[in-house]
Amino acid sequence: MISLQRLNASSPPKRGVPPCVLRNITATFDAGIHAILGTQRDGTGLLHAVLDGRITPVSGEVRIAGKAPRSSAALLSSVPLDVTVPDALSVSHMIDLCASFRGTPRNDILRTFESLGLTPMLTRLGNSLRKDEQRSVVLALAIGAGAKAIVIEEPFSAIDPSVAPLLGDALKDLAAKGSTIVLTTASANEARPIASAIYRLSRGELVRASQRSSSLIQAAWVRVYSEQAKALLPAIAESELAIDVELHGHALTARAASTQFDLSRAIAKAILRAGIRPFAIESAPPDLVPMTPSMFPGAAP
Amino acid sequence: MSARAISFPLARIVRNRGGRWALLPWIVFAIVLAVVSRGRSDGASHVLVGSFARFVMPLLSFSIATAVVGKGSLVEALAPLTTLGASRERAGLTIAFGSMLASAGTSAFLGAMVVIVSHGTSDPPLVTDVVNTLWICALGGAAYGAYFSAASTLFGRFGRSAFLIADFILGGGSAVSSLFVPRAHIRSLLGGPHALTLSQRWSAVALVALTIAFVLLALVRIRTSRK
Repeated sequence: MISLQRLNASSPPKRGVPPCVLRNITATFDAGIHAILGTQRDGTGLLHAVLDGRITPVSGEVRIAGKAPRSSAALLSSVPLDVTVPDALSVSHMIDLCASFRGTPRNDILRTFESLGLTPMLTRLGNSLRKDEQRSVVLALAIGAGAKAIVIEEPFSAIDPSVAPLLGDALKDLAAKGSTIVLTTASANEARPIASAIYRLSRGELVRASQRSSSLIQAAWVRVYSEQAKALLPAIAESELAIDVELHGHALTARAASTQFDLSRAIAKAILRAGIRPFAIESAPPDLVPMTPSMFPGAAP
Repeated sequence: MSARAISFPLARIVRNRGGRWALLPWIVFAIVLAVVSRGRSDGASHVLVGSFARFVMPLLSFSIATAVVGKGSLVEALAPLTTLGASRERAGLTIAFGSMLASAGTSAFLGAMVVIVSHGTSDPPLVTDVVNTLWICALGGAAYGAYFSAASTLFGRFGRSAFLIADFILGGGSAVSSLFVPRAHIRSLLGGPHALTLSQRWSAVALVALTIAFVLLALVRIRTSRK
């Protein structure tokens, strides 16, 4: 349904902000929920903007059901973080317009608003809605109109708190009806329960991480705070994992397209090998794998 | 394009406080002009050809375009409608037609009111004058709506201001360039000097052609914009 062919793109230049890039991405997203894990700096926001046609790729192509994103407005629904709704129209009026643009019965959209508990918003004007309410309304419109392709940036962030618990099931129902849903998010924990396939976007490169059935793999990261953080670099370079490293003063952040456990173990080994003394270590939530002494060869019991 | 969709740009004028207040000065200005000219034998013609065509219509249409499009460009103003599933072209046309409709309606209403209030003895018969003013101001307002919609797709947020200044400078002169802005044709139709050597009939045709050309220009800009 959504296909990317040798896609290269770059974010528009902004003073003081390093540009994000997408490098040679080729992927096909069929019906189902596809989660793309990564941060804004990895290019998730840029990928979202390319998928919905706000940014034109430098080379390669994006196809939504065989058409360019800008020509597939009726098929594609985009929910970016900074969503804009018609300020002077009531939500009920937005539903009318959405139904007429997408050729969907108004009642289908209304049912989605009811199921997500958004009915009290129907009489409110767009300019009276908070940002999280605007995003909830746009999400409900996309789901209710049964868009064939939906691209959502951070689906569980900046939405009405009452909608968040119901959203996962609504998206799963829509995917079961044949829609292609692409989520770009930095939160593996939110994406994992609903995604049928998980990808990792790392510095502009897309890697297929796993099917949901073997979904221990996530956007793993570990941050080590030490006065000798720089001394960790050679030890990390010896690791078997491909680890991205960022060093800011005493803080070293390591990221990898691996399980959290594998990355944590690699960093622990590197700390032991370098012989440094960290004063704090942060990490993403650990995978539930029992730890044994054999995981840390050479460490004192 | 449906009437339902057109209601979005119109609602931006009516429901947003900024939109309502932006129109008020020009409406008040037109009424004051009409009242001041009351008692002159050619009161209606004097106001219409003078201040109304020169200042009120372009500035009123400018304010309407700003209220409909917002502070940015027309391309940036497409987002609320594309979010609901409209294509970029459809969203652009909806906003442009909304702007044209509002400009045409307001200009026609104000023009007719000015004629009724300031009608003098040497002006054409009242009913004929009102009817003629209605269609000329409606056509002129629509042309200005299209003109400022096209302007909103060029030079970002400064496009409309640049086109307003161009209309003042070019439209007031007697060079060939005056044919490419609405002002010269509207003044000619309202009884002022001809636009270059064009008759009133050809000025009406030129206004229609300009309106279509400006809408097409806006459409091309929306289609080719990389944003």
